[in-house]
This record gives sequence, C-alpha cells and structure tokens, in this order.
Amino acid sequence: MRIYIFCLLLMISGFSCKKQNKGDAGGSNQVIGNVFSVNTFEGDGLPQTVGNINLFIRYLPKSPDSIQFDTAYYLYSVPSGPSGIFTFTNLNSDSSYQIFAMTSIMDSSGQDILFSGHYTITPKPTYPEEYDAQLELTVDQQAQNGIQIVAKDVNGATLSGCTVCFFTSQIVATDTLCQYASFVMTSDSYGRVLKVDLIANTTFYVDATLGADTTGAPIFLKDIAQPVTVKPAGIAPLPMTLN
Amino acid sequence: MRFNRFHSRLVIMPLLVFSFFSGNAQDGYSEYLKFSSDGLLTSKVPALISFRKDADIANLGKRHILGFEITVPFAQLRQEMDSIEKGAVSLHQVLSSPDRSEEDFLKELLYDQAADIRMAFLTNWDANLSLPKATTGHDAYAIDTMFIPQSISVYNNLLYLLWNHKVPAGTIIKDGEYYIMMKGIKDTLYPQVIYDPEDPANLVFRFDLFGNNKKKVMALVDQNKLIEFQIMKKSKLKEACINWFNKLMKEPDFHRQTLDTVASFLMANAARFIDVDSVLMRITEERELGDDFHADSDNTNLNMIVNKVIGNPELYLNSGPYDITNIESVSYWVTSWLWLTGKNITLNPFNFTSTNKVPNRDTLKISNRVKYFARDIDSSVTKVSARHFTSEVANFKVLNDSLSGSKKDQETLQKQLKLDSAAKARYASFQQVSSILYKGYLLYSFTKKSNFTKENYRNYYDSAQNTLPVREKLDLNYSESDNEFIVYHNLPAGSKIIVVGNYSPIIEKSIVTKFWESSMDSTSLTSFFTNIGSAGINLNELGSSTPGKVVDKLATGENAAIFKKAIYASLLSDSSDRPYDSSIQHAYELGTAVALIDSLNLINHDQNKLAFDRQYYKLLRGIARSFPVPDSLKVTRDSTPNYMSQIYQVSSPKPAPSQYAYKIEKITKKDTSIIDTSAFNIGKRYRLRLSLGVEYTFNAISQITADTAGGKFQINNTYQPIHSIIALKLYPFHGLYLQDRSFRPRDLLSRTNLLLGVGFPNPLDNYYLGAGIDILPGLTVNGGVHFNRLNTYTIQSDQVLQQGSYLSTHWFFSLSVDPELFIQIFKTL
Repeated sequence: MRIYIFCLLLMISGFSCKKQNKGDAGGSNQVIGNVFSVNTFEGDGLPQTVGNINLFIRYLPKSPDSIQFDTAYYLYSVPSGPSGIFTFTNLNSDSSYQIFAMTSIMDSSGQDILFSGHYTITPKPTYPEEYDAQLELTVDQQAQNGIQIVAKDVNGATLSGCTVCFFTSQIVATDTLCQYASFVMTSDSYGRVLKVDLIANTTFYVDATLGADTTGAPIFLKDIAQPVTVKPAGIAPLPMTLN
Repeated sequence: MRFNRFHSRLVIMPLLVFSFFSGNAQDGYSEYLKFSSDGLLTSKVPALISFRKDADIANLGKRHILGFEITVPFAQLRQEMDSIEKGAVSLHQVLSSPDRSEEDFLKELLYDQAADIRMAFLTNWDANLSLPKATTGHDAYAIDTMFIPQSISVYNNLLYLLWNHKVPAGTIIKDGEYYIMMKGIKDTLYPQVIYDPEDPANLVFRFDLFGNNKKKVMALVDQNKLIEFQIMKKSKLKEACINWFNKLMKEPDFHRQTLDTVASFLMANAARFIDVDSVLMRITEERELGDDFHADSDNTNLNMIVNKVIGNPELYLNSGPYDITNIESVSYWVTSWLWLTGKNITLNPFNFTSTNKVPNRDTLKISNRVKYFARDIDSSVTKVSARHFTSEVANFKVLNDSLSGSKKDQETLQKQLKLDSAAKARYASFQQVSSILYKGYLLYSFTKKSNFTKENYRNYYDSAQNTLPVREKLDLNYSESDNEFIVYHNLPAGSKIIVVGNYSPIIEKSIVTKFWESSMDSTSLTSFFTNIGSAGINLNELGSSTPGKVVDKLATGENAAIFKKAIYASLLSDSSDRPYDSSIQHAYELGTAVALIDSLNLINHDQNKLAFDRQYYKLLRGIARSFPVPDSLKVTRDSTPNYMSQIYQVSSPKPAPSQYAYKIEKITKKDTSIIDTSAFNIGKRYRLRLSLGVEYTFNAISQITADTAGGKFQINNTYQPIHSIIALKLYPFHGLYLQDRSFRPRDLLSRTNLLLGVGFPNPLDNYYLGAGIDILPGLTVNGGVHFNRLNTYTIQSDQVLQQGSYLSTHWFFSLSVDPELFIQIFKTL
C-alpha cells in the first residue's frame, strides 16, 4: 500500500508541473486570417487580397507608442497564400500578439505603393473554417512619402484624364507645357494622382491641365504652379481647382 | 449381596465419546460430520470452516451448525445388550433363592442395583480437542465440550424404543420426519437420539455444540491452524468395575485370603479333573439317577454339590495355611466367590486372568503332567470307587491307562494346561476402558485473511466404504507461496499415507498467450472457451452421501424376548444418589450369610450319590478349568485410533514454475496401494513482468519542432496521442500468478500492478507511470500519468535563439500483453 501512495503522489506531482514555460511556440492556439489591401488614395478603394507576402507576428508591445513595423524584431513569419490566407500556429493562449505586414503593390501607374497594417489578437482556440484575423493593409504613411493631387472643376467635381505635371522650378511651371516637368501623370477616374517615394522637403510646383497636350491642342481648364512640399513621411494632399 | 456382583462382559454403551467442533454456517445451514459406530467417517468434511467476523462467533448459539452424528445399528445395540444376560451372577445370590431362574436374577440385578448399574452405565462424553497455542493478538482459547450426561436414561429410552418399536407417548417431539426422543434436561446435555422411521435399522446420536441454548465458551483461537479432534469411546462401567475390584483385592480380607487358598488348591490339582467327567459319565450311564436328583433344576443340584464340598472340606480342601474347615465361614466365602455364568460355575467372574497366576503350568514337563494326571486319576477313582463304583474300577483303570498313554491325550493335556491366547486377549480387552474411534483434523479460519483456502486443501477419503469420493479437488494449481495440504480421511489404524512426488520445471505462459497460440493453430474459439471455462468454480463442493441401509428385524419375537429382559434396566430411571462404594459396603454388611448357611444345611446327605458326584465333578471341573481370579486389573486406554485423518503438507519452499507430479500411497501392514496419481502446476509469483502494448493519451499536446532548414523558418506540429508502449509491471503484493485462468482472480491483489514504461516513437520523450490490473494474466489494462517531454523554443525573427523542453503530464490508458504475444501478433499483422 505504501508504494501505491507513493506512486499516487508522484502522479499528482506530475500534474502540478503543468504551468511550465512552453517557449515562444509551445502553445496550442492558432490564428487563421486573410490579408487584404485598401488604397484610399487612388483607384477604386475596394479591398484587394494580398497573396504571397510575408506576415509577421510578435508579442503585443506593452506601450502602444512603440508600435513599429519593424521587421527585424518579430517571432516568426509565415507567407500568405495566393488568396491572402495565412495561419499562425502554436500560439500561447495567455499571450496577446500582433500580426503585421508590409508590402509594395504596383498601382495602375506603375508605381510601387508601400502598404502596411497590423492586427492585435488574443489567440483563442479556433477551427480552420473561422477567419479569426482580418489584416487590412493601407497605404503606408510612415515608411514612404508622396503627394496626392485631386483635380476638380470650379464646381468641385473631380476631373478625370487631367494631365498633372510636377516641376521642381516655379519658372518652368508657369509654362503650360509639361516639357520640362519632373513627372507627368494622368488623373484617374476620380481625378486623383498619387506620386510616392519623393525626396523629402522638395517643393514641387504642379500643373494640372485638361484637354491640352504638348502639341498645342486647345486647353479647356488649367491650374498651374501650385506649390507643395514633400514630407519626410506621409502623403501630402494637394487639391487643385481647374479653371 | 451387591458387593460381589460382577458382569463378565460389560455392557459397552454405544454412546460414544465425542469431541465436538463446530464451524460457522449461514442461517439455515447445518452440516454434520457423520460417523459409524466404529468411527468410520461416512460424510464429507468441509474443506474449510471459517468464521468471517466476530459476529459470527457471537451468534453461534442461535444457529444450527456443524455437529457430529454417530449412527449405531440396532443390531449392535442388541448384541451389547446380550452381554448382560451372559454376565456372571454370584452363586451366593442364586443359592439364596433356589426357585428363581437365572433370568430372574438378572432382572433383580438390574432392578435392585439401580445405583450400581447407573454408575456402571455412566458414559462419559469426553471431548478431546487438541487446540493450537494461542499467539499474541488473540485471547486464550477454550472450548467447553465436556459432557457428562447420565446417558443411562438415553439408553433406556432407546431400549424402550427397541422393545415397543414405538416411541412412548409424551416423550416424542415430532420434528419433521424425525422423532426426537430425548433432549437435554436441566443442566445435563444429552445428545439427541433420533429415530427415523424410514431407517429402522439405525439410531442416530446427534451432538450440537452450538445448536442448543447452552452457554458455551468459544474463544478465539489463532487463525490458520488445524484443529485436531478425537472421538473417544469410553466405558464407565468397566472403569468402575476395575476400580471396585482393585479396591476389594487390596483389602486384607479373610475371605479374599481364603479364596487364594482355594484357588491355589484347585490350580495345583487341576489335572486330576480333566476329563474325569467324561469318564464318570461313561461309567455311570448304566446307573439310574436317584429320585431326589432334580434334573431340571440346576440350582437345586448345585446346592447339593456345594454343600457336599463344604461339608467335606477335609477331603478336598485340606491344604493351605488357613482353617477352612469351619462350615459357616467356608460356605459363606465359597458361595460368595463362586460365579454362575452361562449356567457354568466358575471361580472367576471374568473370562480371563492375569498371566502371573499360573506360574507353574507351563513349566511342567509333559512326562510330569502325565504322571500327575495318572496319579490324580488314580486318586480320584480310588476315592470315588471306594464309595460307589467298586465293580467298575477295573474297567475304569483300563480305560484310563489307555487314555493316559496315548499321544493324543498328552497333547490334550498340554493344551489344557496352557493359558490360551484368547484369554490373554480378553484380559487385555477388558482392561481397555477407552479407545479412540477417530482422530482427525478440521481446518478452520477465524478471519478472512486465511492462508487456508478451499483451493489448497485437498480432501481425500478412504474409498473402502464406497460411499465417499476418493478426492474432492482435481485440477487446481498452486503458487509457490501457497500452503498445500493433502488431507486423507478415514485412514484405518496401522495405515499411513505417504506422498511421493517430484518437481519438473515448466515454462509458464499466460492464458492470453496460450489462447493466441491455440487460436492461431486451430483458428477456433473453442479452445478459448475451453480454457476459460475450466477456470470456473467447482460447484461440486459439498455433497451428501448416504450409507447403505439394512432392514432390521426388530420386531421378531426372538429379539423381543432378549430385549424384554434387558428392558428392566430402563425401569431404573429413579435417581439414586447412593455412592458406589457405600452401596457395596451396604451390601457387604447386610449380606444374607445366615440365610445361605441355613439353606445349605437343608441338603440331604442321603440323596442320590451318583447324581451328586456327577454334578460334583462337573462343578470342580468347571472351577478348575476356569481361569484364576486376576491379581488386579488396570485401566488401560487405547491411544491408537480406529480411523484417523492424516495431513500432509507439500514441502516448502517449492521450485517454481514447476509441475509437481505426485503419488499418494496407502501403506498398510500387508501391502502398499496407490490411492491417487495426479499432478498440478506450481505457478511462480512474478514480481516483475515486461509487457508490450499501446497507450492512448487524453488531451495530448502536439510536439513542436522548429525547422530552419534552407533558411526558411517553419514550425512542425506532431500530434500523437497513441504510442506503442513497453512497460515494466511491478506486482508489489502477491505477484502475478500465471496459472490463474479465470477472469475472476484468485486474489485481486495478485493482479494489481504498477507500471513504468516508455513510449514509441521517441522513447526519451514519453514516460509512463501508472497502475492497473490484469484482466487475465498477461492482458493488462493500466491507467496513469503520461509524462511527455515537449520542446520549447525562444524565437526571434524566424531564428531559434534557444531551444529547451519541459514535461507535460496527461492521463493515459494502456492495453498491454506479454512481449512474446505482442511479437506474435505483430508477425501475424
């Protein structure tokens, strides 16, 4: 009988060891989600799944101010599937995590727009059918800069097909021709032009014309030489009213 | 005259002396160990009598439980009653009442000597239980089984039943189909005398120690012991007679000394009386008997003869140191010391003597004997012829010479002079007051935790009776720690049992393994069920046996007449408190010596002398041929039981696993016979067993492995709730007993085990600690704690900075079998 009691105590002591440090991947919870991007600066603004990117997970920082999209300090990363679905496994149930991602997406004008986003989650036991995390990536306002031009008429209606020319010189910008412009872009269906990855603190003088070209065709509306200074980070908006 | 009244063949009561032992039983359960009148056990002995708890002991008196029964045939009772009729009656008593028959004297004897007879018939119901010494933890023990019933009453009622063949009104208690004639009254415990009309040949004496309301002391006896019991038959009558005789012989009594003189004379002249009677008969055939000779009345003739002897003492009794010529004294002691038994007058009331009383006979040479014979014959013939047969002397001498010279007569003489061996045997037999009918063993237990079980207690019976099986248990197996007893009952005296056996090693396999092997061979479940079925309980544990019955011719007139005489004893039911010795003294003082002398004086000396002398010689011949009175008697007790139980314990320690093949031999004086030949396996008690099986872990956690191969970080989860398990089972209590073939274990603890195991794959990460039980030996179910070593990682930026582990605990359940079986199963799959 003595030996039985001994073994019983041994079993109980075994269970008392349950609260062990299970490490960074010792949990049994998992998060399944999908990642998508929303561009509010150009295009139609509808969510687009983002496939084949790396998603990162890290413990949720105690201070919200320290939120950084720092891809050098995370636990581990997983790739999203072609349709943007990702899975993080082995999460501890008593820890909060933050999932984040950053990627460049080429827009219709051929620019690589940097998108980023994060999702804070306390892992719970889930089933694969459930999408527990919805990671929305938006145009990154911190790791890139840029200028958004919105061309409108005097009535406030957006003007599609405007030719938007960026000049570094005000003198040249007074010319209606875009012959010496740094960049020439065309407004989209909603009159918007986004130009990213510019040198900070540079002042551009922007011309926006509708209906004319460099060959001297008639110009219906114009607004020229509007100055705008590029921020170190973030998108600087520049509304233009064409007369 | 009571003091000199003897019985040469004493009535030995069939009421035997029992020890009594009782065990417990459930309510309504009763069982009796039954014995025949000579001690033969005719019923089974329970394998084990156990008292489960103290309450059982406390309630013993309320239950009808084990007892002893003895069955005595009526025929035996009648035979023993016959010996009353053949008892010796004092000649004095007969002569004092010439007109009474011998039978009448017997009646008187039985009737008047109530106290003596009662004393003589007192039968001691003696218990003789040899109990083991109490050890620490138990109180002292005592079993009060000393019964001293005045069983004459029982016996008389028995006789009354015999006589009337019905039970007297008012004394019958109808109990079921039995008539219970007697029960205990007052402070006396009587056996129940049971007369079953369906079995008129026998009477049953039943003893219930705990079946009555008597307060009995039954204290705890140490457990796990054998109780030895003896059934003893003891005759109080013999003992009383012997004591009385010895006391009387020690007295410096004149009569006693005179008797010695007579005896010496008669013995010294014994030869002269040999065959004299036949010679005289031949001579006197031509003569007519006198008118006064009463041919039909031996008593009257005896009176005449004795008086003649006494009246002429100088003629025949003229030697010796004492004056025996005084007519009064002589007539008194002669008649007081002569006995009438079977119409023969003897000097000795017994039919035996002690050997030292005939010192000279065997030392005489044949030639001297012949010489003495011739001389004595001459002397006798001279004496006789001087009075009556003058004309026939010549013829007689011729006849005598021819006879004495023949070899045949020499041999006859030699034979007569020897004390025959039968007399020696009678001498020894009479002095044997008690004998042991049965000496046996009973196995009992007072607690549940008994080392004795029915299983390891093999009962054997002597098969001579053909009513009991030779043995009860057959195919049981033992373990090395078991005590094994072979108990043989009904062993006749002078026999013994020896057990010859040898061990041979065997390879033990569990029943599960055996089943697999057998089913693989036969692909049939038959063998399985055969194996399992053989593990069942032997239901044939208790049975009953009925001895053959003999219809008794109880009611025939002849037998009834015999019993009619004996029935007078039954009338002596009034209790007399006169002590034995005082009654003898009373008789001595009030003896009718004067009346006897008067009667002797009535004898007419002128009666027919031929008839007188004929009877006279007959008398003297009878006296001379009777054995001399023994010097003293000694109470002896026969310690050799008629039947006995012998117990044999198989030697220990025993090699295990092994098979013990044994042969039980019964050795008697004549030959040796084999009682039984059998074998059983002795299973080893395994403390450690290896087993293989599978386990299932409840709520198992996946094992994780971080993979950075190819520069790509990946976490792999391996979920494996089922492992193969190799385990070491520890049987801490009694050890696993593989011979056990039943789902119902012999003892549960023997199958209880502790388990230490590792799981596969990854034996270094899976440890098991559990407890379990063998459903069948070799098929084990276990439960316990599964210690699962799980990896831990410290991860940063898709890199493993540190790797560790911890133990996770979960409940598990496992099913395992013997390794050999596991391998076979694996091969099959």
